[in-house]
Amino acid sequence: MLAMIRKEFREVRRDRRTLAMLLLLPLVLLIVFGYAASFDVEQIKAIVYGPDAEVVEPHLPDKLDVVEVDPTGTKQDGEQALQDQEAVVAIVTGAEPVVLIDGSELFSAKAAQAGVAQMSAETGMTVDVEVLFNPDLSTSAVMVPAIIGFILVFIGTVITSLGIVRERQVGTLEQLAVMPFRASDVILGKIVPYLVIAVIDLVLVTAVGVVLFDVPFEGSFALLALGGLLFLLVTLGLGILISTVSQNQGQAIQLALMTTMPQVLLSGMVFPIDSMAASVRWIAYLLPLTWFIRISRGVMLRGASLASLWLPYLALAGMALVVFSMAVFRFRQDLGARSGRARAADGDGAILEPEPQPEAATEVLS
Amino acid sequence: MSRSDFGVRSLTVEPALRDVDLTAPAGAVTAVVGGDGAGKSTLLRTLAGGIGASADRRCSNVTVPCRAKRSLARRNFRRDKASGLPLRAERGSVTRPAALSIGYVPTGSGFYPDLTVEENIRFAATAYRVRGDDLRRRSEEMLGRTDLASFPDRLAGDLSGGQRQKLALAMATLHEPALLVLDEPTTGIDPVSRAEMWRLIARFAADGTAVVVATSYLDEAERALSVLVLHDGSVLLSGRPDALAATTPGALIDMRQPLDPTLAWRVGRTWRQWIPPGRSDLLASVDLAGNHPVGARLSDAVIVATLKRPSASSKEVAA
Repeated sequence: MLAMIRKEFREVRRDRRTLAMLLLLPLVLLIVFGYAASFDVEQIKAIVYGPDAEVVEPHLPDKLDVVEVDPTGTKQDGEQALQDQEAVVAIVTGAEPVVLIDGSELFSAKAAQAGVAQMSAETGMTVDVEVLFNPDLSTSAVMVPAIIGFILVFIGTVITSLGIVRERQVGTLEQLAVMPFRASDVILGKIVPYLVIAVIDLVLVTAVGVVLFDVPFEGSFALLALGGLLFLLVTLGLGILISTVSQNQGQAIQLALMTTMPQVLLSGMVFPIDSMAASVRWIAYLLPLTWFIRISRGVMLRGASLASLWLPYLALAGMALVVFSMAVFRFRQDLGARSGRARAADGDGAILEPEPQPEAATEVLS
Repeated sequence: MSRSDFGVRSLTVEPALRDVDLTAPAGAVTAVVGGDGAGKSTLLRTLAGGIGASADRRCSNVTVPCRAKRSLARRNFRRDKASGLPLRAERGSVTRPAALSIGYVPTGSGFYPDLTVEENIRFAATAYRVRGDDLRRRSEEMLGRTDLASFPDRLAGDLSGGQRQKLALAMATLHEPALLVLDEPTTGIDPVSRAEMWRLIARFAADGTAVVVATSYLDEAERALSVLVLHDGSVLLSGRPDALAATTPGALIDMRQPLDPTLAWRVGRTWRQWIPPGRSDLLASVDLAGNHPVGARLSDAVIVATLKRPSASSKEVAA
C-alpha cells in the first residue's frame, strides 16, 4: 500500500496542472469566501434630489453613500439616474417625498428597503418607497440574466475547448491541417457551430426566464444580442486558447474550470460586487462575465440603453478583440499555417519547379 | 528525383530530423522504418504539408524550400516525441503535389469516431471536392475494396481496429491522390487486417499513386520498393530492401549459443551471430558443423547498421 501511496504522490507532483489546482483552488476559494462572499451590503450608493435635498442629506444614515445632491432634481431625474446605475437609491424630497430603489441590485435594494423601514419606525415619518425595475425584488429576475451569461461561458469556454481538444486527441486535427482547407475554414468551421448553439441557448433561456419566471424584459433584444455576441467572442476565444495548451480533454476541463469558477463567484452573479472588499473587487472588473451581467440585467430589468451601458460594451469589445485575436493566432500556429506575410517573406522562388536530379543521388547508403 | 517524383531533400527539422532525403516515385511504395521517436511522423507530416503549404491549388508539383525563419516553437502539438522539445528550424526542400492531390492518414486515426462510416466518407468527399457521379463511383469502389460497404451506418468508433484503419484509408484516397502518406497504418491491428491493409496499399501503388508508409515492422518494409531507415532523426539505411540485405557487410551465422552476445540477436529459437568484416578471429572459432551461415534479410541489415553506426557505444562494438 505504501508503494501505491508513494507512486500517487509522485504522479501528482509531476502533473503540474493538478498540483496547481490542488494548491491554488483552496487559496482562491478562501480569498473569495473570505473577502467577496457576502450578501451584506455595507455601502449603498444614493442620490438626493428635490428642494429639501441639502436639508435631508446630513440626516441620512451612514450606510448611504451619497454621491450626488441636487436641489433641482425631480422624480424623473431620479428614475433616469437609477436606470443609468449612477446610484441604487434615489431620495426625492418635496411635497410628496419618495424613495426610489433599483430592484435590479437585489441585495442593495433589500438593504435599502430595510433601512428606510427602520428610519420610518424611528422617526415616525412615513415615506413612499418605490422599487423600480424589479418591484417584487424577486431573486429569479436577477438570476436569470446572470444565468444567461453563465451558459454562454459554459458553451463558449468549456464545450468549445473540449470540442477542439477532442479533435487533437483523436489525431484528426493533424489531418485537417493537411486537407485542402484554408486555416480560416478550419477555425470558423470549428467555432461557428458552437456560436450557433450558444445563440439558440441564449434565446431559449431568455424566453424560459420571461415566460416561466416572469422575468421582465424591458430593453431591446438587439442590445442583449450584441452584448451576448461580444461576450461569446471572449468566451469562445478563451475556449480556443485553453484548447491550444491542452493535450487531452482532462487538461482542458481543468483549465476551463479554473477560468469559469472565478467568474461564477466574483462576477456579481451570486455575491454583489458592492459588498466585496476593495482588495478583491478589482478582480471582478477583469472578468468578462461581470460586464455581461451588467448588460443583461441592465437591458432586461431596467430597459437600459446603449448610452448608459457604453462602459460594459466597451470593456467586452476590448476583451473580445484581444482574446479572440490571440486565440485565432494560436490556432493558426497549431494548424501549422504560415501567415500571408511570412509566405511573402520567403520571397521569390517560394514555389520552384523541382530540379532534375540524378537518380543515384537519392540513394543515401550508410 | 525525376519530375513526377515527390519527396524531401536535405530536410532538417530540429531536433527531430537531420539532413534526410526521401524520394517517393509514382506507382511505388516507399517505406519509412524506425523505432519510436526516430522521426518518422515528423518526416511524413512535413512531406504531406500543412495549411498554406501548397497555397496555389492549381499548380501540380511544387518544391517548397523550408527555411528556419519562423520559429515553430509555439506549435505545441508539434513536439519531438523523443526529446519532448518543440520542433524548430526547418531546412531543405519538399516536393509535393497540390493539397487536393495529397492523401494523409495520421498515426492511429484520421476519422471521426462519432460519425458513421458514410458520414466520415462524405466529410472527406466535401473536403477534397469529390462530388456527384465521382463521389458515388469512388465511395462505392472504396467501401467495396475496404469491405466497409455492408455497414455504412455504423459509428466509426464502433468499428474494429482494422476496419477503422481501412476507413481512414478510404477517406484519404477518395480523391485519387497523387501522393498518399500513411503514418503507421498497421500498428496495433491484427495480422489478417495487416495483410489486407498491405494488399490495399499495393493496389494504390499499382494504380500509379506514390505511396509513403511509415511502419515499425520490418517484414512490412520488405514489400516496399525502397526503404528509408531512420534512427534518431538521421538516415541509417536507404535503398531497395533486397539490395540493402545483399550488401550487409560481414557474415551471419545461426547458432545455438552466440559467440559474442553483443553482436548477436535472437531469431526464433536460435541466435543470429554477426561476424563484422575483419573479425576473422571470430570466424575462425565458429564450428560450422552445427551452425549455418545464412543470407541477410532486411531486418538483419537494419540491426547490423544499428550496431556498426559510429554512435553505437564503444563497449557494445569493442566487446
